Amino acid sequence: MNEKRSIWDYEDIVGRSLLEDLETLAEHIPGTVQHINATYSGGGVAEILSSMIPLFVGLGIETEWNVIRGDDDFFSVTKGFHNALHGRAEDSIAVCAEHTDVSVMDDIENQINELTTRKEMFETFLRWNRINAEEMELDSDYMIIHDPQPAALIDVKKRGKWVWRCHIDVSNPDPLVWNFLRDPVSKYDASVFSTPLFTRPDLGIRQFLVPPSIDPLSDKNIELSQGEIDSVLDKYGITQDKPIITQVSRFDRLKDLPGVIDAYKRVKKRMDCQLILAGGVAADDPEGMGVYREVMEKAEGDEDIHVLLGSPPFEDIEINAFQRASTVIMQKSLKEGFGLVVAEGLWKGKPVIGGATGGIPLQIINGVTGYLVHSSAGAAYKIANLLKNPELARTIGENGREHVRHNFLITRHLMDYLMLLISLDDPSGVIRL
Amino acid sequence: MADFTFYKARYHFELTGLKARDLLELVGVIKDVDESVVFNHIYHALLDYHFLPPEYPNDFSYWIADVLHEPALAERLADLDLRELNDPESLRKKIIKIIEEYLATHDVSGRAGIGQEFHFVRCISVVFPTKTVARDLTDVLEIIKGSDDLDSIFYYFIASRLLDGGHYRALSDWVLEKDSHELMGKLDNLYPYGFANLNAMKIEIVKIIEGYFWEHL
Repeated sequence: MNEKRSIWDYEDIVGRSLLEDLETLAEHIPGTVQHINATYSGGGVAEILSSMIPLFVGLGIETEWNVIRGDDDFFSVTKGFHNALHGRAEDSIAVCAEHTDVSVMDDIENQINELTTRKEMFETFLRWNRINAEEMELDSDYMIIHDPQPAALIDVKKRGKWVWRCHIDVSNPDPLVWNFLRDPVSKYDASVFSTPLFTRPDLGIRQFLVPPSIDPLSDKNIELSQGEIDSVLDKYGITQDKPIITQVSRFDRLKDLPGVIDAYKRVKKRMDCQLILAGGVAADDPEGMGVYREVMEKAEGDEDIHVLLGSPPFEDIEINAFQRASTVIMQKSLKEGFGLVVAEGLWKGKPVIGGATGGIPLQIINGVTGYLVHSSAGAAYKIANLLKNPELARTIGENGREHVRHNFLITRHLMDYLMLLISLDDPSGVIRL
Repeated sequence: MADFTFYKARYHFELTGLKARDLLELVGVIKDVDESVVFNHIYHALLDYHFLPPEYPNDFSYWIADVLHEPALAERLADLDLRELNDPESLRKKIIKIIEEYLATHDVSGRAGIGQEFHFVRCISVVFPTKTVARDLTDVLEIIKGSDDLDSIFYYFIASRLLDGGHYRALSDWVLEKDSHELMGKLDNLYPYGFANLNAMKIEIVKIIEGYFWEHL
């Protein structure tokens, strides 16, 4: 997994200056780098590392990418951690509500069972981290550990600088899980978060800010010819004779797909258009198929609503084609992580309408690169406005592309990592190379 | 005249863990934080907005207007005369004075909800030499005109000037070796908030140098 790619492949996209600076800063990275996460494929972290590692190597920095292993129990535990950390407060409330009618003794018993389960989860987590620590060579000068799954590898740290790169929102976690995880995480030299909104005040180590990024040369974002776009749309029976509104997202309640259909229906009364809802169902989400069925039901009877379930998952080129064929892109999430799919849409020069949650407001500057909305009615109003005013849509799309060019491309991300590694040895506000 | 090597900086961001939910908390934290935090929140928008001027030129103004709904105070903080506030301490004192005066004369009750707090972020500048070298002022003009590198402009005319002054002074001394006091005076007088973006600032710098050449060479 240690292929090499030249940063100069990106010259036409980002210009010479940034690339020259990357080369200069890379000369000041004195040692080896190792990234560790839980998987080589699937999910945003693997996607970013697939693009990032070859660029590190291309800059002459000896860089490895390794993944930890575990059994089904381990990954079930880490999925539970993910949900518990990722702001699932509403689930905790639902659980508490279920307990209101039970007796005090039953309640105590439930709590003991809950704690026993948690204890077993924590033991599974630590056991697999110990197994991986014994099997892996964790001796690079800079160790970058991604997300909670491998976080306890720090317990065997012997040398080097260790950074915990947290891609998820831990601002409102389940307290028991967070208290457990905080112990290993606070042993790191530094942590990295995607936005200030995702952080914790109780870590006790340096916290850096590094937003995620998209790779403009990946299949998901590379320029496509009209022929390539046409062939994907033909495959799914979508014509291009009327404007296309698209949301690419998992079939998940938090993506508010019914709200997107409501917005589309309001617009449809005023002007002809069509809607693409394209996504998959996460293997570990028992609700996903239920959401898909509800969406199908709501879309029934309207031939201009294309509900596309990617099973097997859509190829990246297909997602790219859906976005490029769109007139307006939606990401009307009720709750979101960083929501990089917004950056993907903006990079294609499309106006994006999104919910004001998670990382979306960092990408959509309201009225400049798209619109932030709080309701289906609000979304409908903005969609109609963009469909009626192609010049406005074009300007907003161009602004969005420039916003992504400067802030959310892999080359900026690489620069942030180099500066992070340089800063680990120097706490001052001005570092002179 | 010795050759002049251009420097530049790239910036990255460290969270301080400090946040504010109302004006009192905001001003309290501003009094204590590192100067690189104040610098960040006053200037980083100039680096971020390459295509359109933001509604307010700094983070404090934007948050006070957008979250606390105190546009009059936001406007006062948007109108800082950064030519006079040429060191971080005077900048900090001015911001504190404006907010405290406002608090003393207005009934302010706005408080940010969860997720809308003002997060104090520190800006770390990584400064390094570029491969660009000028032998004389004509070179300087050509380099600035031909470069797409607005980060150098930001570094010399904003960051270096405010944070430690070293490289800006070096540029100034080098220009003054040519006895170009008038030119340096005009460059010193550049007002960063007056421009739509950094490219507009670059165009103004080119205009100043070309104007100087027109009159003197």
